[in-house]
Amino acid sequence: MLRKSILAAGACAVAAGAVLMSNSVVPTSHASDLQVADAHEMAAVKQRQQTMKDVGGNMKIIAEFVKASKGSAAEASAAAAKIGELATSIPEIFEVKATLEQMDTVGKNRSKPEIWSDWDGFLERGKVLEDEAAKMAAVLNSGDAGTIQAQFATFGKEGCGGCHTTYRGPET
Amino acid sequence: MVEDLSEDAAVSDAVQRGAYVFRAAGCHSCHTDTKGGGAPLAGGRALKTPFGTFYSPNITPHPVYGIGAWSDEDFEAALRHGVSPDGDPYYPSFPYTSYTGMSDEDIADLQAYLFAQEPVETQNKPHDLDFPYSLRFTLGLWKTMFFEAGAYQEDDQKDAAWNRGAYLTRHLGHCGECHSPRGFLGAVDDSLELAGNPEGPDGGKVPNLTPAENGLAGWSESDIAGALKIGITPEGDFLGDSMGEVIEHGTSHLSDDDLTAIAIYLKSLPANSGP
Repeated sequence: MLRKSILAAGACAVAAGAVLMSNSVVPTSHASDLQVADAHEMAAVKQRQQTMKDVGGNMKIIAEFVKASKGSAAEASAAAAKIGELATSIPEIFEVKATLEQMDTVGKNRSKPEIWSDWDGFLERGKVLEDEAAKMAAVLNSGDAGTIQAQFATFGKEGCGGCHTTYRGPET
Repeated sequence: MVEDLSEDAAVSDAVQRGAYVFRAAGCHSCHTDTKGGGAPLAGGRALKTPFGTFYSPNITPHPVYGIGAWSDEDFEAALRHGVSPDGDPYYPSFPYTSYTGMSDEDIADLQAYLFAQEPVETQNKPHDLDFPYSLRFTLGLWKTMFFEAGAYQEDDQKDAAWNRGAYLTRHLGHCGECHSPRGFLGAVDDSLELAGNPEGPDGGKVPNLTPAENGLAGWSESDIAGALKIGITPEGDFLGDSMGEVIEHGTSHLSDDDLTAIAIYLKSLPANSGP
């Protein structure tokens, strides 16, 4: 809730700026509405991208341990736990709707409209990531190479790939 | 076809082998309208391209709406020559331009597998193409310009794994159909094969698979095999969207030897930074 009001306050500030500017530069108030929407959405997109980048970075730590025995099991397990924690923010960071089509002009954004048209299905996917990450963290501490490999494949396919297949668009 | 299919051990072997060919050939993703909740292989999946939208046909063995009434010759003509049972040429959205290289045995096994599936009563949807691509009669001319039929011939200068990789990549797996740029007539430019496609299906950018800097230069053979098996990239990202479907229904089911063969083949290509 707090985050929401900060965003709203930010949006108002931007709106005020846009209106001031619109007096001199932008000819219609319609155009300034558009700018506000973009600034608000852009912040959401940035936050999402950073979270996913963090998930990827932690995934890399786990992958390097599983595939090439780099680092330690404890570090890999901590990375898996971190992914589980990041996964809990998915409902919040995807709350603001900003899709591929809408964001064409403001950089790389690969969210598919299906995220919002199938919001419950999307949230279920987030929960899968959370659960699989917890299992991964536990299995990494158990030490059995076969179980670790198997869980890593399930974790990646179900937790990451499954969601990306349905809800993430191509690079544009 | 003979009546006692289930009694015939040779046929059920063919079905089993065909199941693997089916995975490697990636038929499921395009011939199933997953988004629209369509039945497996009953077609209707939209493929948006710069030439218009194609709708894949029903390839279940339904005698009226699917391929159930096709003869062995019809099936081979479709895959090897890109010709329908009525004698009409197919659009190259159906990747017969790659499948033409399939072995006789793989074609027969794939047919056995498809004919062992559940028939589904779903009517085909006509393509929705832009002019002049909507003129089907021009396809005959297109084929004489860009298509040469024939099974893959092994390169005896290379080992078995490389040849298997080339066969899987260029023919059965038809990777180049999405991973190569197309000219305005829709044909893949041979000099840019597998070098990525800035205008891929559904408006996406399709990555370069040659060992160029903007391609797979930084990927090891095991990185490539891992991406095809579970979708992971060396950065810790997981592939999704249309490649996610290819992995889910296709490459994740292939043997480790076959995935390594694909990796060996891709790493052997000349680096090509693409269009």
